[in-house]
Amino acid sequence: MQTVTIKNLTKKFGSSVAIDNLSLNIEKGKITGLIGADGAGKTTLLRTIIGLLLPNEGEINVLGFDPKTQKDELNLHIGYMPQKFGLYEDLTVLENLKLYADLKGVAHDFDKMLEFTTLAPFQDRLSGALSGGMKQKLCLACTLLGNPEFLLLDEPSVGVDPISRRDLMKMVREMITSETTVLWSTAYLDEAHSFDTAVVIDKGKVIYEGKPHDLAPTPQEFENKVIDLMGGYNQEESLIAKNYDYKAPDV
Amino acid sequence: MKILLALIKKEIKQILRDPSSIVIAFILPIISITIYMFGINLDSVKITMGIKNDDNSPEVATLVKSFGHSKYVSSINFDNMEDIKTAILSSKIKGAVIIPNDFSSKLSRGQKADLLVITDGSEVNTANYVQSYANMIANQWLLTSKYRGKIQRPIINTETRTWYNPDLNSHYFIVPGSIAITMTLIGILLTSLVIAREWERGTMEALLSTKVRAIHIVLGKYIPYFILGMLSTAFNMFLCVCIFKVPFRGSYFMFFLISGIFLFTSLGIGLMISTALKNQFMASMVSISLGFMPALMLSGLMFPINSMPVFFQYLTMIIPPRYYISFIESEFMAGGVNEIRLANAFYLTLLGLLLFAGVYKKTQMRLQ
Repeated sequence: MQTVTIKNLTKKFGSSVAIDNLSLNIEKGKITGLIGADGAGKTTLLRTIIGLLLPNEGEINVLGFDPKTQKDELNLHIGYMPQKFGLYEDLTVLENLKLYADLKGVAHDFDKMLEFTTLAPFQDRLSGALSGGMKQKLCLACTLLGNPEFLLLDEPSVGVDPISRRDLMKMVREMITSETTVLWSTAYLDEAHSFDTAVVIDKGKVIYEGKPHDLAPTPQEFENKVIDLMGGYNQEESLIAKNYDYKAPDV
Repeated sequence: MKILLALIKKEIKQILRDPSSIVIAFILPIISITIYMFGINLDSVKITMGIKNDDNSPEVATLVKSFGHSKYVSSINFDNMEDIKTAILSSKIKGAVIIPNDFSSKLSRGQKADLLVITDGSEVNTANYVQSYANMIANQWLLTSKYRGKIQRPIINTETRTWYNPDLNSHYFIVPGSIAITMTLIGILLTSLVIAREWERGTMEALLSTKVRAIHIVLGKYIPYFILGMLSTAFNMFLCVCIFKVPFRGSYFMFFLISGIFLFTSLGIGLMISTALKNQFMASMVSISLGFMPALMLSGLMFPINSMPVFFQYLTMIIPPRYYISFIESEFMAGGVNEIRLANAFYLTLLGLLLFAGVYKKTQMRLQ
């Protein structure tokens, strides 16, 4: 059973094509990794799936709703964590949780959530004063409120230390039910290897859709395969390589 | 309703934890009123005066004409005192000259003739100009009239009556006027930042994926800042009346009612700027240029509107503080006039509702 069905989706910003005639199915009850380099179109795709952006062409069905016309109804069933999540830094940890619970119209056991996310000792601290990893945990906790059917996470582990990354993954796996669908956008390929399904996109097109283990058995090999799919790594063309090899001319 | 209450609670907490809001609401009035009280002195240039001529002699008709020919004065003729009162209250004229029916006969007999000059004390400097212009024009006319040979000084006695502010204390209208400035700052400057801040900090994207609707976002911004603005208005009023002892002759109920309408309009301007620009720096610049500066310079508080070039006189008609300052002056000085209350409240309500509708329509529930 599919949570998301996308057919021939195109999204343009002016003359720039962000999503290019993309078709995709996302299976219910699975964690799907949305993988791609910066600018590949991951954020645009997530935003279009939940109706925050309107597509130029194509059809989308999410949990039986059309996000173009039924965004408000769809919002009742999803949890969306944007890349730059909207924490109110002048509200405390607990106040942020309570606010998002009210805005989603859900009752929640905040003590349990705070305990589980290890944020309980900091519940009265302003969220602006939290470390980067703790902020992300709080963002994820706000997103998970109300146990949404479909969870969309836009690069939640960016800028987070490896321990906190594992914590975030653990939080998601333990808080969701077998019916919950997760779409987790990431640029970290080792992280993506642990998902049920991987969707690799490049320049707004799907270039791989399947189980990560089917592509490669280990995270390292998976990374190499995905890079190959994206056209391979050309050291000579790499900006970093160019800069690394750069030598100042003799005066 | 629960969503709206949650947003209002959130906004109030943010206001209370943001020192700049508190400074603008409660510290700025102290600074602003003190400056207006002790630091501001105003001049005026062009004045419109009313003339009521009860003397039908042809010679006196030339005196009436000379009030209209002055570079500094224009004149409007009136038949009765009620119309003069209404014209002064509505700022159509800044004073009036009453020529009694025995004026020419007294001059013919070489006697002292009285000329009554009425000035509007709610604008002190203008009142002084009215008095001196009337004196000057009358005496110049006398030197060219047929009575010049009969001069026995003082042949024209100008008796001045100052309405509404007999002490001619300019602080009595400048200080209340500063309430309009503070309310403009709260209404436009603070709110111009709030929606832009949500976009800049990324909180709007998260809000848009919850049950929040456009009306929640709009009311969630209007209501907390309305409360802050009204608290600040009450504080301003306390400073004016209790600390600086400015006489208040109007109705407190009407004052707070129309102040609320003005605040509603100002909030609309600020939120419209914020909604349209989505950038705090740009929003603050635009709100100062389009909101605060016109309130200060074109509202009639600092410079009389009728002394401005014609283009700017028309421009003032779309500036809400113009109407609020007209209302405040009347409420403080004259004790409130229903025609003025109604006219100003009508315009402010109309503009406020248009802005509210505009802000609601402009509030995006999707990204672009």
